[in-house]
Amino acid sequence: MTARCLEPERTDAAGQVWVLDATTAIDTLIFSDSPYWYGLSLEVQQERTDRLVRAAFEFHLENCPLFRAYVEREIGLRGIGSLEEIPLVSTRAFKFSEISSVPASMIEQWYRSSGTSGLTSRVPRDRRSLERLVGSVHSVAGLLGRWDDDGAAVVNLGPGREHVDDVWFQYVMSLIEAIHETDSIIPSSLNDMERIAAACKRRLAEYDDLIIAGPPFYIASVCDFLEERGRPVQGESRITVLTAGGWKRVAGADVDRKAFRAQVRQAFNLTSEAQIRDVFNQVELNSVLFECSVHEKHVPPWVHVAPRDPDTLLPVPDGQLGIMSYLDASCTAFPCFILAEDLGTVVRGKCACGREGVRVDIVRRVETRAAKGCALTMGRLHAARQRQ
Amino acid sequence: MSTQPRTIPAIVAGRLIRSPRGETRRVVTATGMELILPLVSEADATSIIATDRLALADLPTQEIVAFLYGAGQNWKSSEYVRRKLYIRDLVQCLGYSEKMAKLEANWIAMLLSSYASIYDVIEAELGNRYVLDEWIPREEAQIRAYPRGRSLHILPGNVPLSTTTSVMRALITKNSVVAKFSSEDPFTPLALAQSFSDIDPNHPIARAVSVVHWNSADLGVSGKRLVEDADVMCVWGSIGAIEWAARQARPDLEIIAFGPKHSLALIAELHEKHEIREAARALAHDVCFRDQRACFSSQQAWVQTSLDLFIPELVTALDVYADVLPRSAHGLDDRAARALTIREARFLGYPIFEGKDGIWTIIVCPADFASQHPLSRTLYLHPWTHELSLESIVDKQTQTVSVYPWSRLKHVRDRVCRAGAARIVECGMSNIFRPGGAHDGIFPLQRLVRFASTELPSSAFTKSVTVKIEQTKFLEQDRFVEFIP
Repeated sequence: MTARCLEPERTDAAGQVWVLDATTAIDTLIFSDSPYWYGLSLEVQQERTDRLVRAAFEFHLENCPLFRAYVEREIGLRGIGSLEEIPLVSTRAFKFSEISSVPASMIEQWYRSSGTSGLTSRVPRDRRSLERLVGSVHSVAGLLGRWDDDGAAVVNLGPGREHVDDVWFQYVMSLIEAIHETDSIIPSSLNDMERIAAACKRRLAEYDDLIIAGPPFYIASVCDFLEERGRPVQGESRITVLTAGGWKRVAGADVDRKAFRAQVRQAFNLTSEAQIRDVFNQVELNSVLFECSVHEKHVPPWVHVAPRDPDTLLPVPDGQLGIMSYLDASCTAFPCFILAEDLGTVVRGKCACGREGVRVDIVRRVETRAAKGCALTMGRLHAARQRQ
Repeated sequence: MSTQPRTIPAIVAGRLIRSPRGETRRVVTATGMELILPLVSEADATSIIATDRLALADLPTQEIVAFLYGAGQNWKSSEYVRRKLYIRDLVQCLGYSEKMAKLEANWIAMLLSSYASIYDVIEAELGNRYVLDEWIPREEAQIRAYPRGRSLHILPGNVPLSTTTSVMRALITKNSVVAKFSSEDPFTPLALAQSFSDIDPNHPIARAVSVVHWNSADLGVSGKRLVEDADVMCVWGSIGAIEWAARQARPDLEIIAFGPKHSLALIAELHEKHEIREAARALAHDVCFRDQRACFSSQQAWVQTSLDLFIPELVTALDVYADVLPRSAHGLDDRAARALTIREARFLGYPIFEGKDGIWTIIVCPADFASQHPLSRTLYLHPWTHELSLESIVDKQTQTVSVYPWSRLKHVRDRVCRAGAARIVECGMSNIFRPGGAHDGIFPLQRLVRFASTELPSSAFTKSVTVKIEQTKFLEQDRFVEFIP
């Protein structure tokens, strides 16, 4: 990888500037013990974001021929003014194109999305990108709380680490297993529900804290079961429920998040709804966005997030709904400058939790009239061909 | 435009229910209008189920056709208040352009008023124009078509024409109608049913029609009762709607599913400028009509003619349609879907042509361009090379293949239909369903009726046995084998 001059990260006693390369600068942030940067001013955070993303842009321009050609067609190779000028890659491009910035020999795995719409994205990850993901989860998870590695256990409502295969969502959820003792159970039968309830009770007896992680619809199913059994799990202040994944039930209805939190708090006998947190990630994004205690998703400084106007692709004002875009500097495997299939908002400044920075609210997926009408868009036809 | 939420009524057995009798749900339309939709209540469901499901069974077909014709004549008049209100609702609430809304009203008038076509469709699909009214000789039997009873229609929000078609098919086959409207378009079924009451609120047809709503993700107790009570269900729309219907269905419930489908165009090699212009105008029509929300709308076109010659003409034609049939309002989601597609095409380096303010888009790309289609007058244009296998570009989800010029029909028809296409039309005619044609591979009227037969008695000889049929005697004499032809 090309080492690239970036910014003065540290100075020595004599005030001499040490010029560090981009890799060191971003890794200093990612592999820190805690998300200390939320104590920095918004301006400082945004300055770091700006520099890290610019460095990543230069890297992918050099190493990803598809991206370079795209940039040359869109804005030329004159360089960018603001970050918003970086040409965005539609996440749909990952469904059919192999977009990579590293040689095939460096790709650890091609991961795919869960594919609820029938089409799956295929996105490469090299070792550095994966290590940064793991590192960022470890440090940013500080937003959730501080647990000793040996003091907390996990009940993961999903396949165990050994069954993860190449589904990105499952891989990300399984990362927690690397840190804490974990029971992985998919709640697909009454017997599974019994096992989950038993695991919760057993781990609460053995450990100080318990993290229950899974997609919202699995968590909701477990809550229904616990209610039927008279709420046998006494979570009080020792359980944290971590949700990730689509906010749709099997039937397709949107889950009301406030009602969901009230349901979870009651079913697990939790002290506070602050113990119920959501995280956001997608296969085309290399960072995980964690919710704080007041349910705001904080953006780490190596990621630039902006909802955009769909016609102009210019960022919309804070608080206004737009199509989400992410510029993630932590990814070396592919140009993670994406236009996502979600609508959301951004706010910045001081959060009620006390942290400074940028927060996002992913409101919902883009939903077209095509999805509701009798005109079949071409997805299924192409999905069939993709499988061939 | 009013910013107050608007309460949408329901119709129960022909009676307008202005104030919801149960729960409601709120939706926001493409123009930002908030609608309060009544969820079908226990009382509504009980009233509907209590009506005679065979109330139209003894009504002569000619009376039904005449009634529909009367309603159609009202719709034809630009002074008809119901029509004016309907056009206003489509424009203000759903974001249709004035011209497009007027065209929808005209199509309702056309379908209802085309009495000769209704008879033709009955003849073509059921075999005889009188089969719904009397016994018709047919080989060694007489047959008669009876209504199945209560028809439930899960209506789409994207194509008003489908609503009218679905309800009319049920009525001309003498079924009573429960129409479940989409939150995307409550107006078409309500206006249609009210236009029947405008003719005569006590007429059996007016009273045989109910228009209700439920949340498709949670049909509730009342919706469940109506689904269980139905004898036949016509489901229009998305994969979700079709799968939902399959999950709810009783084992003996007849489900007639329409959609989802996609359609495409084939433009052969043309040299004369006027021919190229005609082809471009025809294709522009099939792209712009209903902004590609219909299953028959062309989403892709394979073109043998030089694209350097064809694209300028197509650009001109699409601009003409931007004027003669302005695009409907597009919400944030539609614009976002378009942005994603355009970014994908740009990333892949495909040439893109866009109308002013993105009102239409042409993307020149290989046939396997992988994006989901954003609709919104977006055409994927592919070179039709000698190597192209027509069989590879269609499948069983292909509905309409439109062809230009028509003289190329014989070269393509069997190849695309064998591979799965349901329908071939001339380019520019995709929205006109001719009497006699199949719809998505079936003849829907046949599924809306139950055929009964009266078969000839023993005294009547069969064609192959020239004696009276005396089965006991034949068995006693062990002569059965003599009568095997």
